Amino acid sequence: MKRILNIILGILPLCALILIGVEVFISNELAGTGGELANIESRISQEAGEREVLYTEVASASSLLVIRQKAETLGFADPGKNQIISLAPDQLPVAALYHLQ
Amino acid sequence: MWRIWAAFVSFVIAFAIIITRLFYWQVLASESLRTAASSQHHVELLLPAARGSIYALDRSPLVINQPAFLVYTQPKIIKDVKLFTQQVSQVLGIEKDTLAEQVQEPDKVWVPLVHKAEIGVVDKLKELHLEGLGFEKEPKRYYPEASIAAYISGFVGSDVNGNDRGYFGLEGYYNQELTGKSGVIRQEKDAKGAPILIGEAMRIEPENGRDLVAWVDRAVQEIVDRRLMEGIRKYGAKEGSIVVMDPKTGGIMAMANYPSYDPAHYNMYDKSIYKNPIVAASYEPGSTFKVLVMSAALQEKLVTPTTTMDESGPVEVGEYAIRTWNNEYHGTITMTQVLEHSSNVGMVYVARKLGIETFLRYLTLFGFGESTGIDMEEETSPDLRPAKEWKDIDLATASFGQGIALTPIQMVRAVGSLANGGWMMEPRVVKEIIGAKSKTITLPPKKIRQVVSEATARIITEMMVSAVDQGEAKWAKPKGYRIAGKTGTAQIPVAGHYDEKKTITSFVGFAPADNPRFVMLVTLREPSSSPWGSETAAPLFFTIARDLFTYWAISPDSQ
Repeated sequence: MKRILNIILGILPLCALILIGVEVFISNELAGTGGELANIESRISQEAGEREVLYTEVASASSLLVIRQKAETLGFADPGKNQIISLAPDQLPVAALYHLQ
Repeated sequence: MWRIWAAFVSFVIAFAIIITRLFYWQVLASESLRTAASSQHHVELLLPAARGSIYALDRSPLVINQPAFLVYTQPKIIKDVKLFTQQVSQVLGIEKDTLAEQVQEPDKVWVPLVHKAEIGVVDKLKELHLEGLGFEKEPKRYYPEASIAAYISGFVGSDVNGNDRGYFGLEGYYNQELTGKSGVIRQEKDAKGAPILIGEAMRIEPENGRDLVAWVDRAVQEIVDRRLMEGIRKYGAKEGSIVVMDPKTGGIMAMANYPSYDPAHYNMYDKSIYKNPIVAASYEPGSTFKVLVMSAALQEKLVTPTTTMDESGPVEVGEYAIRTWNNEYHGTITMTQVLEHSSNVGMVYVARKLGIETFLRYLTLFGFGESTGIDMEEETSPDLRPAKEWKDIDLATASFGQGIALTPIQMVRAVGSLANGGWMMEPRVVKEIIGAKSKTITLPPKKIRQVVSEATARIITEMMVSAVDQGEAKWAKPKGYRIAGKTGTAQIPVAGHYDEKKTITSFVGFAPADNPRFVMLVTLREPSSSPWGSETAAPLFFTIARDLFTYWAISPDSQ
């Protein structure tokens, strides 16, 4: 009984020392990765900024103003006063037929 | 003995000095020392909140945020001031001397150079690799549809503290919803300034502003904007405005004014242009007002569409003589024909039947003299004169829309009630508010009151269709469509009297008459081609109506 107690008393400080050592090692590793974290956050910020720029470009490209200008360049013109609206299915474009279905 | 006492007193004094000094450092100066230490050991970053966006009905963006930066300098870090000012002034387009003055101001630690500089400019500055030049995110508003909905959106300027604040339109009315709440990161840092992962850290996420989805139909807005510009040019008008509303919901589908401004460069325009005349400026409606007076008389069962009156000449009201607009008289005419001919004499007959009290009661029921409650910052409403101030001549002239002032949105709301079975709706621009995690708050259409019965609304609608089909503007009407409407030509009051040559022409109407999809008011101020509404505002209304019928695939004579 006394022998077991002595063994335990001998091992415990060793375990404590090992755990302290591991904690110091891990803390040291983590403390040094702050720089990496800063880099990652900077990249995230940059990507977010680029995403915002692309979003505004998409919004601009799909604006009615731009569509109208492109349509005029392609030769589309405003219809005259007399406009014929036909609802016969065979005269509708395929996409509209799909929509009706 | 005295030496012992002297030594003792010296020790006491020395301890007292030390304790006083300690008291100063640990109690009085502790806060500032703690802050200084914190700034050495901690990094604190503001996480700015994004301002909410504004979308059209189809969720296409009307107003969004665009990345931009505050460019600043820290003069004490600049190594070569001459090189700095030369290179930076070239990129920013600032005078070199002005920049040098700012940078060389004594005791300045931090100097802002340009607010909301765009990405292209910032990238060029970063390529210079200049010390003492810094950038901070400062997003700015971007308008993909340019200025077509300027009066609906308003613009974003700065408040007294230099923070973004919305003014006019939706930016002003919904400023609190659109403005978010900034977050903050506070983290322990190492000697190189990098964060320490196992150190102290606190993070409060920003709350971005809420997004707004408007009733505005992007295509209708584009049509209205474009046709208004064409109309201004064609009819030589000084000003003009058009508003299109869904009479069943009160949703504003389009609003346009001329002159207008670009909200992205609002500071280049005179301040007087910022207010939306549709909600903030009053005008005399002229003959368009007749439909409301007639509907009041129908509701009170004082007249029917076939009630006749004698229009054989001008009618005397006190010392005044009220004539028709063209001094032509048609003998015995029905109430329907009163609207067809736009007879002022006929309207005096109707107004006399109503009497001042009932007339004023209906003015109030139709919402005149009170704000409509539309969600735009700058709405105003002209007051109605109290009943005791009204004389017979006032009743007579008000019956054909002169001597009474109202805003265009009040007019549209009132006529909209005739298109909606007699129910008046509250005009609204915003349909939904979208918060965090896409949580959507829908603002339901709001019924204000029933002004006239459904039967009366149907009767006046038929009379208005007849006024379009048989009236002065019938030549411009799209064939095959039933459009309910009325032309208006009002003289402009100038210094207490009416100018004979200057007019405000207007047309108000809704279509298709049997199941109205829209109610629209067109006004043109001082058109030079013709002073008459039937020759200016009416054809412009019908041109837009034709576009809308095509856009919504509304066939002629469809229900």
